[in-house]
Amino acid sequence: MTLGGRVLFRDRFAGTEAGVSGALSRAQADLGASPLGVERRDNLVIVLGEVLNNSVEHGMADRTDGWIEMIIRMNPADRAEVAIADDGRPLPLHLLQGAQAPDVTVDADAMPEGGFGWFIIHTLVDDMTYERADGRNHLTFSI
Amino acid sequence: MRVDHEIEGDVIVLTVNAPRIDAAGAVGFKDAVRAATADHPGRVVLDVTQVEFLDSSGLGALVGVMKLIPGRKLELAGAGPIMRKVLALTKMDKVFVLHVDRHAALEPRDAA
Repeated sequence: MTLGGRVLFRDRFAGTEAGVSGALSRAQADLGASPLGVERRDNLVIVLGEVLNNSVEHGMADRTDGWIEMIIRMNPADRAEVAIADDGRPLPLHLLQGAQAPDVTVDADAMPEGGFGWFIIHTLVDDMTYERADGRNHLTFSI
Repeated sequence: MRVDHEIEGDVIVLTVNAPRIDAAGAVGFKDAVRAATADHPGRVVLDVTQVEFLDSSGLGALVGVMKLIPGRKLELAGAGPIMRKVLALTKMDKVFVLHVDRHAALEPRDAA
């Protein structure tokens, strides 16, 4: 990833559910005024929600003093390039390799209430890089 | 989260007055719907016209709501593009009943 190009959104926020919810609302508003196409913008907002909530729920499950930093740029091919850093626990590497869709062809009382997140991410994201450095997670991807 | 409800014949229509059903609001959403649907035996329609964002935690809450109304399908009216996309990706659009809007949900035999 080049991480060049015009900055569409940049934010640093608390690694809590409320912190993520606020950042996503701001991102959704700012990206609405960007030249990204509507479908790409919607996909981006969906993926950001999954990635950021995973960081909070799993990487920072036992604390509220974590932080997350996010930059979204538009590259010359009009794709959104995203870089996210957080100081949570390391991301389990198997999550980066792909994810199965939960089976929803089951009876209502057995319907899964979770496990959709990484499937959604991998369906919408083409490339993803991950690095653990300086006690932080560094995730990049483009949409 | 504030969820208003109205009874229309045997249908209860719950209006979600929030722009997001997400990780931060999922539990409050489920509690609000549970309280409103507790004594209702008929169809349950969620008017989600105001909801601009649904994540997988919100989707899990919708599944949880469906389990609160055994024997019935959860019906969603007015789902926006992001909600429709999340439902389609996860194939949950085949599990819930989707209506274009609240009016369509109250038409006989509608299943938009």
